[in-house]
Amino acid sequence: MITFTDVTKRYPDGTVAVDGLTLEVPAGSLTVFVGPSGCGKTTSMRMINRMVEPTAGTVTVDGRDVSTVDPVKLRLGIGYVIQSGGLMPHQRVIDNVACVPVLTGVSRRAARQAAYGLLERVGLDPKLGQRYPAQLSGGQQQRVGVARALAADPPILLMDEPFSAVDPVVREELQAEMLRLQSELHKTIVFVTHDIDEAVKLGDAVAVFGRGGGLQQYDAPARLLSNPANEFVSEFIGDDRGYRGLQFFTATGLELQPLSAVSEQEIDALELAPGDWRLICRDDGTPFGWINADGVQAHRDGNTLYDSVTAGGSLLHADGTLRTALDAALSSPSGIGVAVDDTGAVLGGVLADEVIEALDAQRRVAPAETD
Amino acid sequence: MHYLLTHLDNAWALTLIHLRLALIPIVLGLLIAVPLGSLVWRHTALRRFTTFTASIIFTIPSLALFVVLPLIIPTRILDEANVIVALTLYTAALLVRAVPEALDAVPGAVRDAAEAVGYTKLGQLLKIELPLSLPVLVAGLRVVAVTNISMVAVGSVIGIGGLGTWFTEGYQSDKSDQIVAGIIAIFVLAVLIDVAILLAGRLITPWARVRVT
Amino acid sequence: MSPRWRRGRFTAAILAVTLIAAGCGSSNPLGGGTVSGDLKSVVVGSADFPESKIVAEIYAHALEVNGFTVGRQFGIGSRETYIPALRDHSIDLVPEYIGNLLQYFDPKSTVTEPDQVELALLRALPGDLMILTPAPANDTDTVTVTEATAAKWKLVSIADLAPHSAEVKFGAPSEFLNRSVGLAGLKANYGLNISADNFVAISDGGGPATVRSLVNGTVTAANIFSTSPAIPQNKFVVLTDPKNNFLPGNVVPLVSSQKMSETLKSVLDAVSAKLTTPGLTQLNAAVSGNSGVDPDQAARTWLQDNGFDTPIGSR
Repeated sequence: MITFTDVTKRYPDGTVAVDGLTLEVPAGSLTVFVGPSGCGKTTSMRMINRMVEPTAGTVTVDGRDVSTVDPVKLRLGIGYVIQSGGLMPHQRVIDNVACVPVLTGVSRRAARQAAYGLLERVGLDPKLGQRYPAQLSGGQQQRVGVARALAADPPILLMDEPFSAVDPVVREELQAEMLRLQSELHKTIVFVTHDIDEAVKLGDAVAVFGRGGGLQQYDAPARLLSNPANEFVSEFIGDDRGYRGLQFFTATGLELQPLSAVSEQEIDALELAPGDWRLICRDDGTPFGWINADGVQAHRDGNTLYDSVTAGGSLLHADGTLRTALDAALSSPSGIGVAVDDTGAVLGGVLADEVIEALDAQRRVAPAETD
Repeated sequence: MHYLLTHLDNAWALTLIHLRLALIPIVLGLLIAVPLGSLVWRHTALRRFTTFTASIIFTIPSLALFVVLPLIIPTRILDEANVIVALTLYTAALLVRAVPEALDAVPGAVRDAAEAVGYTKLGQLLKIELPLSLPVLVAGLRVVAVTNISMVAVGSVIGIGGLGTWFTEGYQSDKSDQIVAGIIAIFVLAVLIDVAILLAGRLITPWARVRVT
Repeated sequence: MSPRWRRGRFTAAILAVTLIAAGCGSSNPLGGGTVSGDLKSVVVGSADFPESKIVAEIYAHALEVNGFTVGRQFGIGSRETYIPALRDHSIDLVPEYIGNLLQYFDPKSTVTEPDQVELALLRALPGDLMILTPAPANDTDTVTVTEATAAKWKLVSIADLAPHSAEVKFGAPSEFLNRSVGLAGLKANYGLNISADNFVAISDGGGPATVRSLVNGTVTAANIFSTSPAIPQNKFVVLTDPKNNFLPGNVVPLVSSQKMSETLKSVLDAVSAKLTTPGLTQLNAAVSGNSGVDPDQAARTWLQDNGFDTPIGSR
């Protein structure tokens, strides 16, 4: 557990980076510090491993005031991940990962052995261990950074915008990995980001910092979206928070419409009215796309299937949320979202109305907390 | 060219002297400048003071040094050690500025990460900062080494000028062949030293050689 | 730290130690001043110009032929270094010139007659240094002009140049400006008044640059040492110095007193006796130009030609 008690950081020129921060990070949870630049989120996090010293207040880790602990010992017990990895360019990847155990006295050979296992754990081919960091992609370097932070099995992980420097596709993968790892390891994680969506997606708890270093709200993500504490927070969350809030409601139990699909062979025989759509499926039952009257005519005229069919919208998977369900419906050309099972085969159709009904039902069961 | 070919023995002897006088000060200069440079690196006032003192040292005329040194260290006035000590002083003076500059080239993010994962200050210096400063340091060292090759000429004041004696002799005796021979020999020597340091630098910085994705 | 890195540093350290040891081994860099009692072992030094190297080699090889063990340290830059080297016993013998040597030890001396200069020098030398018998060979400073200038102004002596003082640009090493035998002496003795603006400092001691500036007219007259081969080569005219403004420059061996011995004196005196001014000029000519030989070669040839390639007693 990590606690901040009335912690302030004031610089000699008068700027206040952190203003009277009091908060508790529960052990085993993933807490996100989020806010615009200059809000003190990174400064606050760096006070945990004494990379920054508070001007007032105390930071404790597992009950001990960190200012009483030798900084080097403290840091060896805390994993640290930064943007773009912060890897040592002159050491091979494997030695980067093994560096903390070696610093704590583990033999280099044993540390390297363990490091190979860690590389696999973060989803990397162990052969990459022999390369230098510059030979890895941004996403790979980030994973190595995480592996390095995990190497000495520290109870605490500090992560400073670790996924900001990679492209959105890689970022999603890394975020998913992060959630998976945390579900296995249950570390106490403090995660800093400026991206509210990332915060809400990853965090068990989210702390919103405002400009000038003041804590605006510290809450579970769902409550943050449904009950922003002040104007700053609601503006920071931005538009669509209602829509984004849907991600906290599950789509299991959502009623699906029966959806008749046709195969490629049956297209030419279709008679469709204007505005009518049919779902085309492959032989294995996976959806290919939607076709309307124009598309049927195009296919009869000899165009390929690919050119005749309109691409479908996003899919609702088995573990989906009401947000993905609604998006499936909205993004489909026919207005009917496609729900698929684990194998990708079509299960049925999703209507927007059904999603709103399901939302109402779940809200009634767990009444929104209003203060 | 003709002079060079007819005086190969002499050339070899002079080259050995020249190499000794140029390279030993480099090694000694490094031994002084690397620890000293590392020490003053992060202390602005100390660093400025050291750079200032170093510039002053560089302006001391070598003749003055050769006369004064035997009074301080147990050498006689014509001893080669005087030249080596004098050149070591000059080399250290040059390097003591190059070392902090090379350390400055280490990316701040890497230094921050090293501190944050738990390296001690000394550990950071020896295992992270100095190794990463090598590419810039080696570049600076190449310049200093080649400079030393020409600075060896200061020893001619006490009769130890290495290959430079061919310049003076050739000039005084109107022997353009000898002058050209001196130029060629020193040039070749400088190039060899430069390449040697370049290759040695590459050898000890394998990470700088890989092709980046 | 990777093993390769550790190995690299280790190798570098070994290399450094080896280099230092090699450096130390070759010339006793930290040896103290050893006072060698062996009178038959002598280190000969020279200044950093060809004439000095030739004469030094003449001394050195003559001594070798006569049973001495000789070490050589040639090319020592200037008096400021080789006189102290004599006194700390790094070298034992060096060729010198009586006039300039007197000025070095007694700057206030006003003696100009050749015999008096030698006497004054003997008195002025410190106890640990001695000179042997000076040679007839005389290398002095001069006022030298081109053949054309001498013809144009009908110049024979320095006094003849005095009427043209205002037009004379004079080339010489920069200290000539202030030396008592320099511009001041020329003015006092001959009325040759060269202004500081007309003085062109050329730092090669009467060497190629000085010769060039005389040839191409940058200077009207220059100080070229009297045994320079450039004088006959370019048909320069040396203006006479009847009032002895310039001190005599007879070549003389300067010896560290502790190495003085009868044998040393007899060998060097014999050599000096045969060293004439024309002979010295010829030696300088022999080493000059791309077809010239090395100084030690010229010295050996001279020694052979003068019968010094066999020990003195055996002739």
